[in-house]
Amino acid sequence: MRLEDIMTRRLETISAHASVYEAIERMVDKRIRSLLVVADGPVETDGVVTARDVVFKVLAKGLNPHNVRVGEIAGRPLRCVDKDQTVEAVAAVMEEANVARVFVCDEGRVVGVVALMDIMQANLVARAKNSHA
Amino acid sequence: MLKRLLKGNRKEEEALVSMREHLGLLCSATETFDRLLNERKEHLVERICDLEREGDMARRKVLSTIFEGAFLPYLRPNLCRFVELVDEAFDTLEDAARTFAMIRLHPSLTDECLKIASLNKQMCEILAVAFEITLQGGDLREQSLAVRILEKRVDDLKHDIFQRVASLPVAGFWDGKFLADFLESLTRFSDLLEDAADALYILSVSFR
Repeated sequence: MRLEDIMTRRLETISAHASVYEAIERMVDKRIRSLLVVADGPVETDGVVTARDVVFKVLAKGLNPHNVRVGEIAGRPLRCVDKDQTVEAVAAVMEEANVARVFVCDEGRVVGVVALMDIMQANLVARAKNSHA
Repeated sequence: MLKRLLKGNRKEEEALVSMREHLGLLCSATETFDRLLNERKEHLVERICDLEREGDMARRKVLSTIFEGAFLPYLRPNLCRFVELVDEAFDTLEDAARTFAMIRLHPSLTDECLKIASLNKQMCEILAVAFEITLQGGDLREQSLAVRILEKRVDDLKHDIFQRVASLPVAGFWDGKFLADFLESLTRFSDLLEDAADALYILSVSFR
């Protein structure tokens, strides 16, 4: 199974300077659980903000999401995997790092994201195709 | 149960062979369509139309064999429904191929359309596997789930495309219409295959 076949190519991004409230709006509108946080510097300074970060680091602490910048709560560095890696290897990376998604990078550029759900679904589809063989 | 139904019944076997052929032709057509979108070679449109015509012949053979008395009466409606759904998917794919030849796909839509064509191809492969499992009296649970997963992904991609398509420039009424028709056919195919998988599931239960 190739990583390229199961990854999501369309990445939703948000500036590190945007407010957490804007991130919440984006997640609700797009029905997604994470955003790629784009910093001003090179890709190494990018991060990811998840619904988990929003709840645990802002809302549960009683902070005003309008007053907190996304860059302040974003997880860094990005967990990047090479686009040529196998799905099994990526699952191992996710287990080791205890994360639900990793970004797929190619020549220093983020080209996609793979979530646990993508891996689970890809596995089920592969099983369904091969169960008659 | 199915083996009992088929034992010594030439008409049933004939009908099933034609159904397998029909489905096989559809799978070939989805592969050709995938190539068409990637390579944009005009002759592939004609190839899909040829496959559709062959598919029509297989469909007619299945239906006429059933109307000649193949299978027990309670099985016939679901068998016919399955065959009709596969045929409708074939027609839809042909429409998508023909309209694709008349449009210039905007680069911002290319990735999603290629992805949908690939998902359609995978759905068809799984439907063919499900058909064989049905004939063996097996359980279609895994194939049914896989088809639903893939259909949901096509739906998500369709949603993405339709969010952006309204802001794309079109040269005129007909360009816009052909683009809309192409997208409609491309995304409707997976709905039909999902319905066909459901019909097959009902058949597999009836065969037990």
